[in-house]
Amino acid sequence: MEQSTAQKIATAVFGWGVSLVMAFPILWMTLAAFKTENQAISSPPVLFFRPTLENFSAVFERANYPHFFMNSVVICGGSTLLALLISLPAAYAMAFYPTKRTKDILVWMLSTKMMPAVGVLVPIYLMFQSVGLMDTRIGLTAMYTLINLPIVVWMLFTFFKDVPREILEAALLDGARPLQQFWMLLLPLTLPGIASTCLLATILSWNEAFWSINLSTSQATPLTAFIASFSSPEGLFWAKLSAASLLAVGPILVFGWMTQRQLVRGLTFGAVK
Amino acid sequence: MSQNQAKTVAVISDEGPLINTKPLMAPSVILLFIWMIVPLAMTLWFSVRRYNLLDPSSTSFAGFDNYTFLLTDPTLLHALQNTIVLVVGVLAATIIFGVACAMALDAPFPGRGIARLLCIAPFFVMPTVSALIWKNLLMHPVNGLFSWMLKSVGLPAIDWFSDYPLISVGIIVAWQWIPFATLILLTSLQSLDREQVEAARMDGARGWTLFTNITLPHLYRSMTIVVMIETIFLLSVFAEILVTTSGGPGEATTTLPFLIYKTALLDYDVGGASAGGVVAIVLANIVAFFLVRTIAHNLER
Amino acid sequence: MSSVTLKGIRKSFGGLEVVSGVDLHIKDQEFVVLVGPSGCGKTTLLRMIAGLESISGGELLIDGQVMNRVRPDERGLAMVFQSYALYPHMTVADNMSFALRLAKVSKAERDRKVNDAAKILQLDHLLQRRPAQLSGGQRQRVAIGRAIVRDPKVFLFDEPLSNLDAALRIQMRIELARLHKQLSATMIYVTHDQVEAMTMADRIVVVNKGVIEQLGTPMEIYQNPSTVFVAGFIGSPKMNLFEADTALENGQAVAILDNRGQRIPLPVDPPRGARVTLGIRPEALNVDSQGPLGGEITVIEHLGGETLTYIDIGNGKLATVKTGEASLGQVGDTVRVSFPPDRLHVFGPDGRALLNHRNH
Repeated sequence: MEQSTAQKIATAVFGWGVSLVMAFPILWMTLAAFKTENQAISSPPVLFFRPTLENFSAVFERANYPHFFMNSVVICGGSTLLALLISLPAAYAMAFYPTKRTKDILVWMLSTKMMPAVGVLVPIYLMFQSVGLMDTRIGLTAMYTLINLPIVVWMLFTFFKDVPREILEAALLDGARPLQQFWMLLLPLTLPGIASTCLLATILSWNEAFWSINLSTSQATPLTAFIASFSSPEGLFWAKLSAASLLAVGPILVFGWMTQRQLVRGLTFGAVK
Repeated sequence: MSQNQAKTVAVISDEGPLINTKPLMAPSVILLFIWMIVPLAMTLWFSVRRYNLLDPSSTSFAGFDNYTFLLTDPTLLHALQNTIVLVVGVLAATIIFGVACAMALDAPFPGRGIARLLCIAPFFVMPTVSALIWKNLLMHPVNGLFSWMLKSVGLPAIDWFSDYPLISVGIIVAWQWIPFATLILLTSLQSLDREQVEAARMDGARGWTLFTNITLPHLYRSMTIVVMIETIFLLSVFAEILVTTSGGPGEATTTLPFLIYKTALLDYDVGGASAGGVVAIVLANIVAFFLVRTIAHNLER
Repeated sequence: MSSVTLKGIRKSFGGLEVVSGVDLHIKDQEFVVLVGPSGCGKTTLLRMIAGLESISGGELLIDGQVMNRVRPDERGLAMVFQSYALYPHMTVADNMSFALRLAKVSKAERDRKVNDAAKILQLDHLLQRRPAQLSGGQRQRVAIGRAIVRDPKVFLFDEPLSNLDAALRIQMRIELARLHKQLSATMIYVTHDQVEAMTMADRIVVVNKGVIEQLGTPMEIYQNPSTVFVAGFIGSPKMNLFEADTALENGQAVAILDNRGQRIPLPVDPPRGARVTLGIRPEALNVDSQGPLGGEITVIEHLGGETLTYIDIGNGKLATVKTGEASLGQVGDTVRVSFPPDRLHVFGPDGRALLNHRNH
């Protein structure tokens, strides 16, 4: 149906308006990151200013930012890799060699995701303390691996399910053994899916804020918990807070945009594609 | 025959599956099983113990004392009430604004791709960052942008976290979850049969009629999924509260998760916190039951 | 020598039996087409031969060796799938040489075989493309090429032409027939399209409800369908089938058609009082004012070289008459038709033919 010019303009204004409103806090934060502290808290707000990088250098030097950033990188990367290694064989088995119980296992895995974190805060906290995992990268890595495992299995499962079964049958007739099928066909065919699964797992662990706050104090503290420490001194550190936040959010925002299409599938356990 | 399922088995030979799948399944199944059972059992165990970390030597069996204490304590009722208000309020906001955003971003316009990215960006912002940005840069009673905006139109500034603490927390959480609803509803919108829309147009449906009779019913299923998945996550909202209000003022923003956190890690009452944990688990499982059923049903198709 | 022998082959999924005891011997270099309606078990049969489904009962022999438990790739077969099942991430050349690579054939040998197959199929210029860059017909060729390269004892085809448009289908039909001659290989071909079966097969196997209805050369099956099902399934336009009672009148067995009680003398003696089905091919009917069948012309379809005329012979039952360019008359005309006695097929109450015609 043909639209009039007025309708077209209205559509564009509406679409852009909604998006800018949604993104506004992030854009505002980005601006503040390049202001001086005085400009950042000034009211009326300063819109035109000479951008400065001093907040970033301050965050790097004084707040020991690289330490927390590396914690986040190591914990997220490690847990994502671990979850992937544990999930790949399971998802492969369930997608291509299903048994009568496969569906039940999948649903059960999903249900473990429904356990509210607070429900098990006490035992986990005590366990971490007694075995010396408190405030360690290993402890948080293990935690995030377990939290993300069901989602990773599910996502991989739905991607494997999308591979036409005739292609695998053709490979079987061509003489490919299961391991060869996996390396030579499945892996290259589902690589985009596996990549977005990894991205989603990384995003989820990067932004996880319950366990990171409760299970770390300083040594293993990732960025979420580090940023939380800005909550006490108000006012004076807005520009630095913004700079630190921008650095923490930036990389993951890029990941998120890269994987937005597959994100829906992962977060809804394949219920919406 | 053991291959009754042969129709769904991709690759079989006469002797059954070509590979033994048990070793492939074992790591994830065993890990998740331990992950589910051990902490749950411990929570249940602690919940019937008298156990305070300040005095770890004197633990004893408490029976249902922790529950009785908890359930008769107005704090829990208040926390439950706060939890429900927060969850329901945020759900309503995300569905309404999610539909609006999805509709806005469904129709083609120049730069739609970038606009979409901007719109879903809040979902990727870590909760501590979004909470602090809103609390300071936007909602600060003196220097915040909102107070300047109100002042510039002649209205008095609002001290958001003192005067409307729960609503303020709700706004932040909603802002984070609207993109999630938008993303799913947008995906769903795009699967709407264009011919069905054309047919409805031919039948004279326009604007609002078209929306309520064709679009909304089509979105209904994804909306249920959004509601259920968000509920699971919203029931555990924690960091946003910790860094903005710390449950206050008073108990105005103390939700169930925050109450448990406080009882356990600030009051060191393991028994009481565990009893609260059991309540949270029961609550989440009620929602989870419906969610799992919906998704399992989906798996059949 | 590459023969395929099926002895009492059965297949059941759960309690449901989809193939119930098939005996079939396929000779070396034979082109056999399994044809039947969808869900008749023909594809399952082919997949059992390929080794993609387990065999619930009976024996499968290739070149006299029992193959029931042999791995699919060790049966010496190649299969062309309905969806082609090309590996999307590999070039045409890699698709074709995949099996050789797995079999650790040397690079030079692989290239030689791929180039040979590419020449036969005119794929030379496409070897470096990926499947997504090819047209449907080209993908089809690659799938066939992938089979040829392996130099199999037996080629299996699972409805390979059903995803192509009509014109391409005819062209590929001819090419497959040519390929069969050229490779002198044994081929087993599954289709639901009786035209493909008629045009390509050395022998046709008509499958229905998990059993073989009839086995024979295309002309045998066309001229002597052994059951009502085969009679109705093979041939286009469909054979006219009329149900009738039988009686003995003046010492002559006659069929009394349900429609207007038209009487048709029968060349055989059916069991007394039996219900029969009469079958007459549309091209066997001729205008004849003395003919036993008649009625009003309801529809005329001009197909150019041939014309189909539908005559209402009573109670809405239509008889199809196929003629050349000229039609029998106009819509609304009343005509009578007859047929040579030897073109009449008579099927008994169990659906089996009551007499066998000699070849015409």
